[in-house]
Amino acid sequence: MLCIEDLTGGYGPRPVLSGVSLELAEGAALAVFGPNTAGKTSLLRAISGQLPHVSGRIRFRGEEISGLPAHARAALGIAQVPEGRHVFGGMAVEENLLCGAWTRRRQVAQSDLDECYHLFPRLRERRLQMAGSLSGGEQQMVAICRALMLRPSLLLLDEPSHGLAPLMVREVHAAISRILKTGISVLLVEQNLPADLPAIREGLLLEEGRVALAGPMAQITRDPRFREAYLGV
Amino acid sequence: MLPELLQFLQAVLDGLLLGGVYGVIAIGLTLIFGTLNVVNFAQAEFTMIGMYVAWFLWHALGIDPLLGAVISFAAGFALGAAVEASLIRPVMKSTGAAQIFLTVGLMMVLENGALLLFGSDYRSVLTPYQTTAYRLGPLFVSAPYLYAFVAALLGAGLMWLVMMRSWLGRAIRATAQDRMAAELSGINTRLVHMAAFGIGTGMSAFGGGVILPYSSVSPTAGAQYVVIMFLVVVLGGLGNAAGALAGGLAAGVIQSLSGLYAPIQMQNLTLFVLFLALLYFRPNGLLGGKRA
Repeated sequence: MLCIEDLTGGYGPRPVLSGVSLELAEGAALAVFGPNTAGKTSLLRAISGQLPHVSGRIRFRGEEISGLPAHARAALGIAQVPEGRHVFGGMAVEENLLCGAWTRRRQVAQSDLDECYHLFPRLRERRLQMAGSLSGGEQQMVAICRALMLRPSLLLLDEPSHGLAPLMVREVHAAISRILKTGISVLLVEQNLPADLPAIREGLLLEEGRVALAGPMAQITRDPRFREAYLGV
Repeated sequence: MLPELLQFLQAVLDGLLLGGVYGVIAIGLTLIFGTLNVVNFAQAEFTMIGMYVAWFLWHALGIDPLLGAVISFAAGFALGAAVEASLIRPVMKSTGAAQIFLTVGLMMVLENGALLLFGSDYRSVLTPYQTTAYRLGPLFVSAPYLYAFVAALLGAGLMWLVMMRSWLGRAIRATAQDRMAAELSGINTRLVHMAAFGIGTGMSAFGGGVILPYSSVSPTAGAQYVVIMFLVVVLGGLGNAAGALAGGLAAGVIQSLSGLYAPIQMQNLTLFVLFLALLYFRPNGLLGGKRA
């Protein structure tokens, strides 16, 4: 469903990504690893349309999208949970979720919200609170649900467990496992090795903007290059 | 009742009626700043344009300016949206100085454009209620001021409803708070900026329409309001719509009271002295600096 060929790009003249290619099948999940500044976030931003200078091909469900603005890509079904959550802090939780449903504003119903509250019951309790007043973990839940309200076919998750307490990380990862079961394709960038996410079978190691390793997770985690680059051993 | 007390109450009442209109004129400025982070120095010119639109509607078709103000809003919206798309958008990523030069330049162009088109005549309307006043106990309520006040509050209330309850309002607030996240949610933030700028200039033009029954329009009409407008917005906290309304009422009352106790030419001086004192003690405005 997602096919990237020879993607090069960055924020200025110096590219952060050079010649990245990857493929993601419908309903599949791919974890992207790599040290800081390897270009993980830039890769997600290039897919969602937030990276200013991009060359190469990005095809989504057969359609070339690299020329489209971010909001048009969202309308095609690509949702991103950005690094640092970026919830609308001055709006109530429920309004944040409704903002996520902008592209479906004529069909959105209470059942859409209920699905979110089913995934994260504590958001139901907090639904009238300002998102900015929530804890980091709760904000992450809001950001994930806001992305789901778009009913995406591709979900880009940028370090959803970053800076969260271990208990929160487990809750967020449990939710990701449930999202994967619904058939949404997922591209996950994580610092922490998601040992509790066995549903993610494919992995990709980025190093200095290039693909260093790609393949099944089991194979990658055994590779000495991965152990050296990622675990530092 | 003591005549001094009566005079005081009358001045407060007059000030509130005046201040409601200041509020609605200034709401546009605060909406534009809150959403686009651009300070529009040409904002008061849209009030002038709204006055001309209402005047021509009255002159040509006999439409009461209070009704004509709705068309003033539409004209202000259309012109503002066009200005945003053609002039503001290219300087959005530039420095603040470039934005100031642009909007100050626009202010001069609009003022002199009006001079070129309509001449320097002062134009006013005749309405049946122009000299009517209602009795409120021992006080008098001037009809044109009262109608303008009610219309201003209705306009501000309608805008509040749109901002808080509609999808467009939600998209405007989302874009104001986090443009990237709004864009990722599928919101076309360029269109949202255009709409927000248009609503902002439209509100100021609407305010121009409703004050026409008690004021006259000329190309420099905006200049009377530009300083008050900024004062009101800073009083209420830049970017805060409820604050703009509160700031408008406060400015109206202060102006009216100082007219009672100080010579008429000191009216604005009092306002500015109090304004500076307030900024010294509450630098974020009366209601704090929270964005709407």
